[in-house]
Amino acid sequence: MITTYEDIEEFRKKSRRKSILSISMTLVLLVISFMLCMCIGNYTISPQEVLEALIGKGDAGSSTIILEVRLPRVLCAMLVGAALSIAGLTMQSLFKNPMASPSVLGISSGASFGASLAISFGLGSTILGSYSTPFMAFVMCFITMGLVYLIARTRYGIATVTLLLAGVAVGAFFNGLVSMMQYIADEDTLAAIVYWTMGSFNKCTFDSFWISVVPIAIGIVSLCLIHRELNMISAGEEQAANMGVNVKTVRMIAIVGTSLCVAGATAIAGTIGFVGLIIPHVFRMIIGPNHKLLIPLCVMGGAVFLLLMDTLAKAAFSMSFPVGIFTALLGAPFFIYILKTRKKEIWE
Amino acid sequence: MELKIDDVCFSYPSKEVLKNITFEAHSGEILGIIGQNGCGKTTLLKCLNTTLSATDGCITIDGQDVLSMTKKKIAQEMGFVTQTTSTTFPFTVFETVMMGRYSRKQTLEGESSDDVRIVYDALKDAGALEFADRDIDELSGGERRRVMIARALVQEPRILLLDEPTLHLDINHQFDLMDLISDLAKNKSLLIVLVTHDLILAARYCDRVIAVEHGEIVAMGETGDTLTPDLMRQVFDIDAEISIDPRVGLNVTILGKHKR
Repeated sequence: MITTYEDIEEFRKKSRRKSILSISMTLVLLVISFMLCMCIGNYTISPQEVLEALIGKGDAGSSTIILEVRLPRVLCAMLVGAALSIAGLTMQSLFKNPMASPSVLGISSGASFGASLAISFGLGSTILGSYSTPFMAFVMCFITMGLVYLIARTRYGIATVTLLLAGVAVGAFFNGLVSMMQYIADEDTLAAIVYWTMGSFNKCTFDSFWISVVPIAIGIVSLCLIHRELNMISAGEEQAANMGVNVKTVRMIAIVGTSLCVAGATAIAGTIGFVGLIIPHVFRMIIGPNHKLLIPLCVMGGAVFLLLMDTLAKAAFSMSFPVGIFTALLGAPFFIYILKTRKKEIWE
Repeated sequence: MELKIDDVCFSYPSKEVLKNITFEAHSGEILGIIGQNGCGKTTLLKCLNTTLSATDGCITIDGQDVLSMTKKKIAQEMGFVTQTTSTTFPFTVFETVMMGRYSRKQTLEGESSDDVRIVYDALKDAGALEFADRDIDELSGGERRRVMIARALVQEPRILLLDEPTLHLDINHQFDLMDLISDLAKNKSLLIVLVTHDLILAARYCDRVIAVEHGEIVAMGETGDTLTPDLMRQVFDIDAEISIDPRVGLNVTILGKHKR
């Protein structure tokens, strides 16, 4: 029990020690996962060979595999994991609902539609060539975001619940369009669309990484800058406004930041589900709901999660599976677990 | 410090909620706003701190229009404790109260030892220090209310707006909380504007009361002069006796629903 100022100081020190410990442990996990993902694949490469290749002293064979095949894939996995995780965290705080995830604003569905357009009709391919799919996914992410915003906007402003419902409706609409395109597509196109929607790092290159790193970095930095406001908004918008938060501005930054992260991630890896649901929950359970700590932990934790899932997708079977299958297989039971154990928060 | 409300009106598209509200209030006083459910009491508080924008009229603090102030400036002037104290995510009490320092901080400024001292003092003043390390969702309604008052206090406001502060509290805790509010007005010279249904507490603790009916002020003044049996009948449709009890001061005895 706290009775003196010294007790408060001691409580703060204890919290700080817990924060440093959790960040250090997640960082160690990130390094281990990175090495694991670099070592495991069609050919197993030792950690020493990986390190030698990374500092430019490896032999030609393993250096080619490590630097040209595995490194871009690993970097993409880390980038996408970090982006989806922080996007999920932000959505949950903004909507004050632990079940919210990047898909609630319909952005992922919009991206799927954009990618399907590029795959089916070669839209943009004359100018952009192989970049047309990520480019169209990007474009549709932002069109979807604008559409959701316009639908949710009323002359009194935007209510969070209206935004959520608009996102669900727009997402369902684009999902319908993707299904329609799958139905009319020929076999090869259908396979390409389905493969893209499964979510995978199999085709990730350094180009993919460079396509997404800027929007995702802008998204993550903008969300980091509003960590204090997100704490307050997650406790209630009205209460946040009473404490001096400009809720409209913060909500806009949160939505744009989330969209940049989701757009960047979806453009290079397709739709990978449940990362934004699982990671924020795990860290919230461990460290509490303070975004000052949750944001860096989710960024690193998301990267760790997708590195491990991708390693599993590469190594569990003789062929390399789309990572989205594994995140869904793990995510769905976790989703049910939250549903069963946190009913109160979901419905409040 | 002077809070001045001049001819304030507020309407929803289908309903006029506040009509020509005019009054003044000063540091160190407790101003009670009473009236039946739906008469516009909470709407008035929300207009005061610009959560809702008054459709007409002007609200000033020491002559400065609140609409010309930034959100942070308004939060520095006014702390608002709403009826809702529920939370989705379990922040600790310390974290929750520290959030109140937001309006006093620059964009990227971290929490300083001064902030910690201010939070400590507010927790102590609000009687919430002993549960500072607990999660807010573990607390009772009365404890949460104290935490919310502490959070409003760390904004270092000159005005404290309280919406039904004693709602859902047992009688013992109602008096504890009202004693705390009374101390804040006297010792910290805060202007307390509180909305309440509880006429007994209003009679005992408020320096002045404003009675609101259908969005209009129907009576206003010193509590002893304003709370009359006629007003009780007009505003609440009840029969009541108002007396001075040497042990407790002004006392309201509610006899029941008005018999015509």
